[in-house]
Amino acid sequence: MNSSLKMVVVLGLIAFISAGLLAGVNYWTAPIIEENAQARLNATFSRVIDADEFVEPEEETEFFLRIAKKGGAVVGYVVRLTGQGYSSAGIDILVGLNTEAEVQGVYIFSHSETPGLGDRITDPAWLSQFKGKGIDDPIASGTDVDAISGATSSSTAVIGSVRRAVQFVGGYLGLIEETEIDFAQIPDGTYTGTGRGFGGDVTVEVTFANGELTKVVIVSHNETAGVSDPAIEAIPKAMVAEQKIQVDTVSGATMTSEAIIAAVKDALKEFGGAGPAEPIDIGSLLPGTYTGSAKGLKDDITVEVTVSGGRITKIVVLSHDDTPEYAEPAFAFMIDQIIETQDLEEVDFYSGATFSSEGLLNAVKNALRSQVKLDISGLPDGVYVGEGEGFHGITRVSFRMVSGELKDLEVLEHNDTPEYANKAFATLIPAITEAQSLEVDLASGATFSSQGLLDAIMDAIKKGPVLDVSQVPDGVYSGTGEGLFGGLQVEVTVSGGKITDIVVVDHQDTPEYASLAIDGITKAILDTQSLDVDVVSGATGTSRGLLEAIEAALKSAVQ
Amino acid sequence: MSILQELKRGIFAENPTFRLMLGMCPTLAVTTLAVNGVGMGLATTAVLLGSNLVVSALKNVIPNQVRIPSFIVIIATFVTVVSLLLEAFAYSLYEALGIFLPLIVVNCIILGRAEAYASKHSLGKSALDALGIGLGFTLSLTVLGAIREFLGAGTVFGLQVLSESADMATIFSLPPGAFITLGLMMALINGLTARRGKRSVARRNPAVAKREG
Amino acid sequence: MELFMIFFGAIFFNNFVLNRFLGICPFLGVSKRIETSVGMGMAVAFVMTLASVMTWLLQGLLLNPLGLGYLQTIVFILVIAALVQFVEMFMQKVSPTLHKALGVYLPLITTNCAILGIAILNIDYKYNLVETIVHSLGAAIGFTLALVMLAGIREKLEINDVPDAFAGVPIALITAGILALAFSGFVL
Repeated sequence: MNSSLKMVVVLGLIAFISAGLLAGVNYWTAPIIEENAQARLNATFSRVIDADEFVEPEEETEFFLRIAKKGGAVVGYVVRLTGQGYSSAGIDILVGLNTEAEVQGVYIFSHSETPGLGDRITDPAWLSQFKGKGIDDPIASGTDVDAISGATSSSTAVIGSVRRAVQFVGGYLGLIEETEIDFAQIPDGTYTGTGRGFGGDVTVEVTFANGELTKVVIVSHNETAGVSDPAIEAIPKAMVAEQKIQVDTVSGATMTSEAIIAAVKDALKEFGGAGPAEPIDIGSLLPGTYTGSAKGLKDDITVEVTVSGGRITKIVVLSHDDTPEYAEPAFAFMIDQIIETQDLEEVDFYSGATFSSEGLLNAVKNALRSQVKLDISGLPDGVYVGEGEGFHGITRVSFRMVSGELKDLEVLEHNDTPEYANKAFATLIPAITEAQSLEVDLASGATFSSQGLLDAIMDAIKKGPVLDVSQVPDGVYSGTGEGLFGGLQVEVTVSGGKITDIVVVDHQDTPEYASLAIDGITKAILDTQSLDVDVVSGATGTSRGLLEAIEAALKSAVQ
Repeated sequence: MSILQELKRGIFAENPTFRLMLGMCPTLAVTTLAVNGVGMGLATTAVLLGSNLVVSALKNVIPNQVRIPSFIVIIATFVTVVSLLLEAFAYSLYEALGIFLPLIVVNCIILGRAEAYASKHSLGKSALDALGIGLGFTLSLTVLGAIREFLGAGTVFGLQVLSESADMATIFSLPPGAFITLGLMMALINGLTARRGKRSVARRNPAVAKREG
Repeated sequence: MELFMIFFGAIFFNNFVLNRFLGICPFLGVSKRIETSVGMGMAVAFVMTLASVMTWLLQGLLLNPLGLGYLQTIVFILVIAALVQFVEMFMQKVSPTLHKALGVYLPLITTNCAILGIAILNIDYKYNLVETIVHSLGAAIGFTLALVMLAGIREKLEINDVPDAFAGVPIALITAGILALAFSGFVL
């Protein structure tokens, strides 16, 4: 045989046989190696939560997530995520959480922080401070957890990662309602809030106009210059551009981004987005029409709700996108029910069209939480007094409602420059009386005085009518109120449109203090012929009960 | 030569570590613990045995010009097999040996034995040679590992020898300790053999012994 | 920053010879004279960088896509052996002077575990190509540095009175131990 051919053949054969042998050994050992690797990973997971099985969730998740089971029952979750410490390689962290999204254990999987400094984040004693932290905890250095001095950036990265893990599992379990705030319901104005960033509090000012987010300004912050700049630059712009709060964070400045988002949320917290909204008190709603929308089966359902005399009197569906043959009977059922029960909390849904039913209910709720289109004619009769903020100070107004008509609107007091203010009042008062509406053009050149007047009227409407004794027919009326220690009963004598006598028939309060209140309040009311009197200090409980009783007595007279 | 003599040759006269000074990298690197020394030694012995057997069996087939590449392929194959088996069945050892497991390929001992011995001797002799040299290597690594483990951590094969509170010379568990321990051991063996050599000369020649006193 | 850390890490606190024990055989064998040490260092630096790039490409383009990770050792060592052969032939043709200077060290390099070691480490550390090159250069410089330092000390030791038992490798090892101690000081 040719020697060079032999060389090639022999070498080739050796290589071929060894490759085949290796393929065989690999085929045999690969599943065992894989299984071992899995077992080791599970052993690592067991360091952060007491469980014996770790299952991959079926759906795709934002972070690496394993569902921890013990004896087949779900006992919690393991989240693996990377925090940005001092080294660019990142800190690989495992967080174990129970089914309430409370931290069970934290383990640093791997890191390349400086030995002797940053690597102190692996100290079990320090990591144990996270145990029990949940979605209601801030998990921020200096508040409920501590950073490691000398290793601030490494330890802050760990703290941030734990917080993210808690929020993530909280969201995964539906413990955190990630409802976007409905901008349409936010009244125009500027709101301030703070969020915790890398270096401390970040304060923002958020401005709304016509239901749109128009401006986000970072008023103050303590973030690292340079590192945080991209977030400070981009996040407010993104919020305004996308008209939402939960915008994407800026990589490399995650903490600052999250702080800005948290600050904006904080500024708008009264408009929902965090926690369930307060139930609506229908009885205290101003008369008028309210519009609002909420998601139905397919798209938004928009409704117009009419309120009059503290009751929902009419609900009209303005637009919806649900299948009419299912949705319309549901709407009719829901509207009838709401108007009949005047209750938005205990509500039955129309079977077979739950989404449309719930959508309508939410639309009604959203409507009633939004600003009213005031219907003055729905206001009860009586005298109204209110205050508003003018240019230089308080503006006080009064007006009367007679059979649904606004009359005798007058400015009782104001501190604005007469030259401008008088011009404003002279234009606005006839205009409002004429239109029987507050939707009038503001007097040009005196917008502040005009706004003060409108605010004062709004305030008066919100307060409701004050008692007008002159309208009370003669007689003796009795009423009850709640004193400091129990019921309190009075008899009020009205004669010739004036309160002539107030007698406390019964009370449970300590006599020496109670008599102070009774004497003081009685004298003041008789003198001023008004219930708008100061309570007697040292006997406030009795004073309030007494005023309540007198008011009740006079109201019974009017009705 | 008897089987026993053949084995003794590898352990003493041709001890790869202290006599031939081959395979120094793994010797220094993995001997932080005695058990790692045993593991590395046995893994190397297994590869050596395999490659010696195959090389000896194929000594008449492999053309002289491609003998080195052929040997390398054969050695690398056995190294990979051993590495896969360790990963599957002895993971902690696999992890402790780390990069030095694939690096058995370039351990001069193995290629050296294939070239200098197995390619010229019969199967049986090559196997005995591999076992002798392998055992010698294992023994050296184990002793070195035991000494470093004792000095550095106060344990031997993981057993607590000194009180746990004893202040140990951690330096012996670290790289500098590897160099120093091996250097001192080599000097010790050199010194001992030098004396023994003199003594055996003296036994054979009483005149010399008398002169030396 | 990252590249800087990889580079200086490989030279100092992760010095290939003194901390990772890679390339001990040439370290003890060739470190008797400074001149030969420099030659060996250059040859290693050259082959190391070239081999790293080639094995990195092979792993990324061939072994990983085909799921042949278990053939890594065998493929890498063959590539390195072939590369060393090729470099030697190429050098002889193109620059006989360079070949005269470095040629004698090249055959030794095939079995230098530092070369295979860095090829595997680059894959283990999941370095990208640039990081691989920087890491290899750093490792080669670190190797040369350790080699030249030891050679310098050994040249001095030779004219000193060393006990017979310590002569040669034992004293070299102890010296290396003290050097390693000094290099581990770079950690903090």
